[in-house]
Amino acid sequence: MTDNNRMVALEIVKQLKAEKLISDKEINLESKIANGIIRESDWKLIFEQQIRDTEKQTKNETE
Amino acid sequence: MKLSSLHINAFRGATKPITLNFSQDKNISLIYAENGNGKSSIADALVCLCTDGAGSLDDKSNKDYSFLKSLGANNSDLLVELETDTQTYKATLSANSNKIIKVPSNDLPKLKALRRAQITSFIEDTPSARYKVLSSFIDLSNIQKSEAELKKLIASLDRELGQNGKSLSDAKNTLTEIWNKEGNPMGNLNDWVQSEIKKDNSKLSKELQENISVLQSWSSLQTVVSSIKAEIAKYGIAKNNFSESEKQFKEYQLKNPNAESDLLSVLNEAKKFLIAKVEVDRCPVCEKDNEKQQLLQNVDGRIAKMQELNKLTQLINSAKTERDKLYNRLQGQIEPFNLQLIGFKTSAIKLSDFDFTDILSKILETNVTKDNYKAFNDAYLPLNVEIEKLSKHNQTVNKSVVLHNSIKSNYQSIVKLTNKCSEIDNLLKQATSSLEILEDTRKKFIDSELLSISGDVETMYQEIHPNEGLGNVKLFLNHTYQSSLNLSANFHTKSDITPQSVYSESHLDTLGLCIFIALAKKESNKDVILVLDDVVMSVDERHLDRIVSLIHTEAKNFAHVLISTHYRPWRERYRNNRAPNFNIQFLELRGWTMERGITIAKPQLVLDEIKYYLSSPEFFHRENLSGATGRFLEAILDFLTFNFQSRLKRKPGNDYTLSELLDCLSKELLKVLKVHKMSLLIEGKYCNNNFDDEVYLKPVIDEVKNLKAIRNQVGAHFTFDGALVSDNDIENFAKSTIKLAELLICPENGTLPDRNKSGSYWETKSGSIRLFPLLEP
Repeated sequence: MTDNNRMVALEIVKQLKAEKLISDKEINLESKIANGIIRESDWKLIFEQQIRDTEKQTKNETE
Repeated sequence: MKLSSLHINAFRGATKPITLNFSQDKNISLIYAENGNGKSSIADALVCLCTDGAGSLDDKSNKDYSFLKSLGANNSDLLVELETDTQTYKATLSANSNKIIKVPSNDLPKLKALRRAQITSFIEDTPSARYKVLSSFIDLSNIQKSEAELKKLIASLDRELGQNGKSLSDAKNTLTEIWNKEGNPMGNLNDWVQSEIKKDNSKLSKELQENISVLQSWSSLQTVVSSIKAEIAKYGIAKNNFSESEKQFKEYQLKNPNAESDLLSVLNEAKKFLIAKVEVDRCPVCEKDNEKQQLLQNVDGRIAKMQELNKLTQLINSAKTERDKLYNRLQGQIEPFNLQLIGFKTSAIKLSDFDFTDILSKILETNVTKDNYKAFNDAYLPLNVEIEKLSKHNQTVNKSVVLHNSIKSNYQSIVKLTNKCSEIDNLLKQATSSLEILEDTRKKFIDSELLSISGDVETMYQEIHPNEGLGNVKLFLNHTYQSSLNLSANFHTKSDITPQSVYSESHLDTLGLCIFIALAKKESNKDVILVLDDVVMSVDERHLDRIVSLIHTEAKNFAHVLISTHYRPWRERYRNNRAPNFNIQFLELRGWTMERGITIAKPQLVLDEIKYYLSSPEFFHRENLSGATGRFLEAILDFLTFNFQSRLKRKPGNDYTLSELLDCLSKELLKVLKVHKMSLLIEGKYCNNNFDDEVYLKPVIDEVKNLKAIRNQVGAHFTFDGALVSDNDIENFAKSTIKLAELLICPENGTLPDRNKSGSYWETKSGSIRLFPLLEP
């Protein structure tokens, strides 16, 4: 992993979390992106998790 | 990291093992060789070992890695071994796959290589090709891999959304078609669908099942009845056959009243008896002695006489047997028929809307009666009418049930697919927004990296092309297109022009060189090996000096700089102290052959060559010493006359003679021409104010002037006068030249005082020597 990939990966994850596109609890994503080992299925799981978390949060707030 | 040695075997031009030992105190190596002597093989070996590339082979259209090994060599022969002060790195070629195997496989030395083909490609190719070259410097390959996976997800989701959307549309269309077919009930599709799905269909479904059960039972009953009818027909025929044979028998008896059918019966039985016995010696009836054969003959004879009676008896017997068999079979049908009929009755009488109860009232609920068959036949016609009514009614019921089920299943599909599409759409939005962030962040990073090197590029470019109205080079990504790198620069009064359109080829070459060095420098923490493989073509001496100077300035940012060139003026600049030759390791490759491989010849600096001839009487060589001294003196005088803009007659090619160069130094200049040898401080730098020695050059120039003829007489031509020159004079000519050179040459890096930083004198780059005056008085 070069420094460039690591730096950009950190910034990407920061922005994805800020935009609530992925969960704040997501760990090791920076490393997966920086090492180029994240796969299509991983991305899907991450987004599905975030959708579930958002729905859960909305439900809790409503209650 | 310091490079110690590079060992190459069976790699490209290295047909024989070759070891290049790096000088430990110099981090620049210059390999000079005419084309075809193996300089790119050395550069490529380093590239293959330290990067994923294959060096100059990457510039070819056919990248066959089997070409890495020398002609005629085996894969197992190939070896590239780099020894550094910390570790040894090895590259070999796999036996079968032409794959390069590296040990260690990770944490290889960082290396950035630049070949002329890359410069051309970088400057002149399309923005996308330029981006590709840039990618090897600003490596974001893993980010791009992550982007590619995200793009794959977006494509998959897009496909999935399309498929589900189509299914949703199909389900909606089906419902609309049903609604239209039904005559648009309630005037509104949704209202109708809602009311339809709310309906309880269980009663109708139950009725449908009951009706189907009766109809199936009726169908089974029909099969049994058909079978019975067939059996009855067969039985009828057998019965008739028996009656007919009985009639014929009676007619025979009437015609033959004496025919004793009972006797025939006895005779037939006697024949059977006799055949069955092994041995008979008397008649079984009268008990008279007689043999078996004789007895059989008698019985057969008597039966033969009763042949017609015998035939009729056999016929009647077989007809009776057949009749009785069919009768029994018919009897066996009674129970199955009754079971089927009772089953039908039981299910049919449940259908209160039909008249089955009355019609079937005479059917008894017992399995053994024959009467039911008759009763069934009597009731068959009204039964058939009711069954037809039931069948028609059931079609209507079935249609209603199917319609209801279709509405329900399509509605359920619509609900399910709508949810599914919504889920996919949400995922797609997340993924698309995320991809935008990934791409945007990567591009911004590259932009910032490009911006961060622009200052360096500008400084370097201005060092090579000062005051030429060029520069302000900008590299930027074209965000409209994917992976596209654009270039702009100033050209005199115009800014932001495309340099490729107006810059000369050599200006574009140097621009490419500056950009690459800046990019490599950006990535280097003094740990990158910079390889410049034949990057400079024909440039004039001023620009060459500036390029050389630039490389020497920037070398401190790299672990090592390896330069290869076939440009002879570069070699001569170093050999004659017109470039900083003390700081480099200077190597020359010469005379490559297939048998000999690459040959390293250590080139001598001309000054060292002169000193060598003087170092011992046995090395003394009149002609070589005179020639070398004369050429070196010309190099020094060329520098002085150029610096002071001495007046010389214009000549094509500037091929001035030694006399012309010596004589053009004016009297006024010689009066004031002097050097200061500056004091060396403890920290290794030269003092700005104090000097150790002040030496005027006129005396030593006069010395060489007095002996200048030696160069031609001894060093260049065969003349009688030349033979008269003493060895002592030749030695003095050489020693005076050395004295002049050592007054001017920087003890630190071997360069001449060619810099004008002060505005009042010339000085060497290190500040060790100052040459006065700045201008000829």
